[in-house]
This record gives sequence, structure tokens and C-alpha cells, in this order.
Amino acid sequence: MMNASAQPLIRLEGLTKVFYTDEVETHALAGIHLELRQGEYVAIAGPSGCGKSTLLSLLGLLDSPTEGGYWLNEKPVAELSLAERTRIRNQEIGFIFQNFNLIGDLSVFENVELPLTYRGMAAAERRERVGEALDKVGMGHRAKHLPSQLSGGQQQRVAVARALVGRPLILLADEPTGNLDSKNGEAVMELLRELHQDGATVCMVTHDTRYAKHAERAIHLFDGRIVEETKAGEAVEVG
Amino acid sequence: METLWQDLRYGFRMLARNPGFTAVAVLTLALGIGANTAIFSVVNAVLLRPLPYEEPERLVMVWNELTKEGLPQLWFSEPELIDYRQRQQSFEGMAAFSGGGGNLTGRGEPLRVTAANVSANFFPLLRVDAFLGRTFTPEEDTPGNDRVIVLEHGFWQRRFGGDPAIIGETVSLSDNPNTVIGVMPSGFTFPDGTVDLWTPLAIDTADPNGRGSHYLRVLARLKSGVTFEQASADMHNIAKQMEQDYPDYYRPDRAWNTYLIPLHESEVGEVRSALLVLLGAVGFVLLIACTNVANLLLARAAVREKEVAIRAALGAGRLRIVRQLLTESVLLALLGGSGGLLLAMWGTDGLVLLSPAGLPRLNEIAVNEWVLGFTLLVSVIAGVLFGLVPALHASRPDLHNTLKEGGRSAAGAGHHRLRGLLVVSEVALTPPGVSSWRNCRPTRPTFRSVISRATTAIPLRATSGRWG
Repeated sequence: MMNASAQPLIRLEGLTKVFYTDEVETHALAGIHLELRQGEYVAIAGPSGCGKSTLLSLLGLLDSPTEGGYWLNEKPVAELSLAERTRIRNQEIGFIFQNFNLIGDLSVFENVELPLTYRGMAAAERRERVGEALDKVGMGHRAKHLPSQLSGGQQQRVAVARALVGRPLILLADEPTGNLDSKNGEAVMELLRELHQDGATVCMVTHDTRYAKHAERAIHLFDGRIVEETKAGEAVEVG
Repeated sequence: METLWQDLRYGFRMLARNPGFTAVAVLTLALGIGANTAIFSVVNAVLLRPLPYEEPERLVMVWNELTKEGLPQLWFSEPELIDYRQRQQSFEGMAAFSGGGGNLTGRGEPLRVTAANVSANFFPLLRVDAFLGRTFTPEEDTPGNDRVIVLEHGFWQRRFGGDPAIIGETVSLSDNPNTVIGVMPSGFTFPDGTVDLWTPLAIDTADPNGRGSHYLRVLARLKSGVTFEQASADMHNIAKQMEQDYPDYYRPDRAWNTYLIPLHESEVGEVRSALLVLLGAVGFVLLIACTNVANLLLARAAVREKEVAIRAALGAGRLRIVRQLLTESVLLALLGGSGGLLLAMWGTDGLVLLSPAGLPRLNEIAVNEWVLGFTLLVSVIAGVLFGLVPALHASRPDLHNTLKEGGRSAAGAGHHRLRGLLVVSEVALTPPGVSSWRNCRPTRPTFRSVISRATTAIPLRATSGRWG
């Protein structure tokens, strides 16, 4: 396992997210302080509705915070243009979603190829990288299939391949086992652990404490606040 | 280029996987583009294409006018033609023609035919040779030597089965034997499509009709290097001379004048406005079709919101997403355009069959390379037109909510506002009254219908004429 770097890859200071629907204000996150270092495997845990996915969306630049600071690789995210945020999502972040989010009309190969296509990579290099990624998750033999022809576990493996094909700085996984049975869930967790051992930084959202234990560090959220942080073998109360 | 190919491939796949949507959209567009293509094929043939003669810009019609009598278009009388021919310095020649006809017998049932009586220099001025045989010699354009006829190509086919042996054969025209000396090439129907044959005008220059008998239309070709304005001034000067030389006929208080109209303008001028209005009307039909397809695309955008969000999350910029969606809509429009082209090919034949009497250049209406280019251009513009708003709308997905498990796919308020706006636009675009094809007739009578008038002596205070 690689040691985490001293420099934080992600730094959050007082991060707040409020959703406004009609006249109702929903405080999804309140005053989040967090640091993630390169090479770390962090789980964000907590019950449904506690703000885990919202936090992951903010980390993945899929949404913007209402208040607070977010530094990614020491760059303040608030100052990034839309195009720069898009580039970072493409090159520095790999997403794994609970519902796989594969495009049904594209083959397995084309789904995994998509981030590289948007990067403008040459076709030959894309083919090589996609082949490697699919082999890594054991899906090389299903490259020409459509997602609908795969089981849930296989679809999530393809999603993992798509996340890692661009060799991102960090993998963000939102409930990656949420739609899988326990056997396939364990297989995906094993895959993430292998990726982490190969040097990947992984940040995973889960409501299942069994899977949170796979991480080196678990951040526990409740009502939009960090209430507990545990490292492998210890528990630290926060606030 | 590679990404364009990817977008095209994906576009085809999306259309193939949604056959119902594709069929409705393609049919809608095919009707809109097909109507535009059919009407454009008419506009192209009638208004835009040069006349099918050598250097057609040098061909003019010569008209007289009595402005103070309220007669803006007067034909020529025989003495006037002789005077103007002798005095003019601007033209290679002045050809005259008038309406004629009669009963044709010999080889089959008797038939009422429409003829044009033309001077010998009529065909040479237009630079048109006979397809078979020859046209008239100056000798044949004199009284007593004029029992010869030249057949229109279509009439030759219909009446004589395209038999080349007709050349030299004698047929009877209004009980007078006439020798067929030539057949004109296919498509040549000047002065208009009703002509079956041509006979010599055969003016008796030694003893012309009265100066007040205006029945001749005059066609002229500008000499090389002479401008339209110079020739117009020449005609104006001759008109002034005529006032001095024949003060009894051309009294100054009647303001006799002679002027020119370019042959193309003369041929199509009267139907120009009606055709352009019709083109505008079918343009509105296409806009309505585009609005309908845009509405369909917006409805589909809600279904595809997740896919677009996935692409955006993986690093597709807004421009990239808009480009992909526009590629799909242009592809859809090109399919619609192809269908429209097929409809237009049938529709053009129908338009020709249903064409109003006297519409000029009917025989030139065809789906040609210009019409194909127009269809391609209209299809691409239509694709961008109906695809842009849905593409711009779809390219800004709410990533956080859309990508969540069971993320919303329902359209937001903005989406509904946009669709409402499109429906309002559609109602607004409906033209209040569409000019019909049958209304595109010239106000002047056809060649066939002026025969009786043309053979009647018309006094100086004559009515305005038909051809120009």
C-alpha cells in the first residue's frame, strides 16, 4: 500500500451547501472541514439523507458549494471557469456511481472510451488504454456488449474501468455497491482496494459500515455535519 | 473530423433505436422541405435561371407607350416596325411576331393549332437553330412565298410521332398547303408554351397595314458593346423623330414613346411577386415543421437528460454536447431533406400539371443540381434551427440531481416554458392567407387566347398587350 502524501489533494474549509426549492431552504452540508491526501482511501459514511452524496458531488465538481472554500490540488475551485471544471472532471477525477450511469446506447468499449474521447486522445492510444482498463476489471471479453446485456456487477466493473481509464488523481465512488448483491459488492470493494494498493486515491460514499471498514479512514456524517472520524482500528469523535 | 464521425455514428444509432420518433420527425421535415424544394424548383426555373438562349442579357422586348392616354404597353404596327428597323443603330436586328393559328389537316384528324407568325430573323436573333431541317429564309418571309411551317418539338412528337420524314411533307393549315421545313429543338417554345408551330410573318413592306394597326410584338438583340441605356435612348430619340415625321399620328399631346424591357423581366416579371410570396408561404410551413420537431426534441431531451449529464460529468464541455446534439438534428434534417426531395420530384410534376395558364418557362421546371443544393442548404439550416434551442437547453443539465440514484428526469419549469414558447411561435408563424399555386398566373393573356385579337387591326388607341 502506498503511503499518503503530506500535501492534501483536497482541502475543504467551512463548506456549506443549501438547496432552495420554492420557499424551502434545505441545509445539506454545514461547515465541513476536511483534508484528503494523495494515495488515501477515505470512506464517507452516514445514514441516508445525511449529505454524503452532496459532499461527493461538490468534491467531483458536479455542483458548487453555497459557502466555504474548496482547494483541489492546491487550486481554489471557486476561481475555476466552467471549462476548467469540465477539464478537471475529465482528467483528474474518476466517477463511480451507485446506478452505474453507463450510456445504454454505447457498447462497453465506447462507454469506457468516452472520457478519453473528450480528452482528444488519438484513437490508437484510446484503444490501448481502454483495453488495459477493461482487462484490469476482468471485462475485456465483453467489450462489444451493450450495458443491458451485462449483470449489475459487470456493469459496475465497466463503470470502474471508465473511472480509471483516464488515470485520474482521485476516484470518487458514490455507493458503488448500493445496487449489487453482497457477492458482487465484495468483488467491487476488492477491486477498489486493489486500485488503492496500486496508488489510486479513493473517496467512497457508503451507508454500509461493513464497506466503510475497507477504507483507511472513515468520515461519518449526520445532518450535514462531520460527527466522527475513524481510522483503521480507532475511532475519533469530532465536535 | 474523427469526433464528427463519432457523432454521426452515434446519431444514426440514436435515430435507429427510436424509430417512432425518427419516422414522425422525418415525415414532418420531409413535408416542409419537400414543399420548399418543389416551389424553389419553380422559382429557380422561372426567376433565377437565365433564359436558355445565347447571351440572353442582350435580348430585349421593344414597347411603345402613349403615357398621356394611359396606354403603357403598345405593340407595333407594320409601318412602325419598318421605320424603327431603318432608323435604329443599337440592335443586331428587330424581329417581330404575332399570334396566329388555324386548322391543321393531313396525317390524322384535323386539329386546331396555335401558331406564331414570326419574321425571318426571329430564330437567328434568339440564336436557336432547327433540330431538324431549317428555319425561315428572308425570301420565305414575304407575301406569296410564306407557305412553310416549322414545328414545335412536342407537337411534332404528339402529332407526327417524331417522324423525321415529316420534313418536306405538305400539310394543310386553314385550307392552305404548307411545307414542313423544320422542327425546333425540345424545350424551345418561345413566345410561350402554347405554340404548336411557327409560320412566316411575311409583311408586305411595299404596302404595309395602317399605322394604327398595332399587332406586332418586337424582340431585339443589343449589338455587342451597346448598353441597355444607350439602346433605350436610341429608341426614345426615334420616337421623337416619329412625332415630327408623322404629327397626325403621334401628336405631342399624346406623348408617344418607345422603351425597352429585358426579355427575362418581360417573361417573368408578372409572376415574380406571386412566386416569391408562395416561396415565403412554404418557408413558413417549414418553420412550423421545425417548431414541431423542436418540440419533439425537447420532449426527448427530458428522456436523454441523464445521458447528457453522464457525458458532462465525464468531461464533455457544453460546446461538445451542443455539437453532438446538433449533429443529430442535422442528420435528422438531412433524412427529412432526402424524403422532401422525393416528395418534391413527384410534387414538381404535379405543379407542372396544375400550373396556371400562361406561367412562363414551365418546360424548364426540373429538380436539378441547383435544386439539390437548395435542399441540402435548407436541410442543414432547418437542422440547426430546430436543433439549437433543444441542444442549448439540454447542454446545461443539473449534474448533481440527474446523476443521483433515481435522479429526476422530469422536465423543469424552464423546459415547460420553452415548449410553451415554441407552441406560441408555431401559432404566430401560421401565415394568415397562403397564396395558392393557381394564383401565380400572369395578368396578361396567353398566346393562344390572343389569337383572335392579334388578327384584328387595332387602332392607335389600342389596348395594352400580353407579351413583352
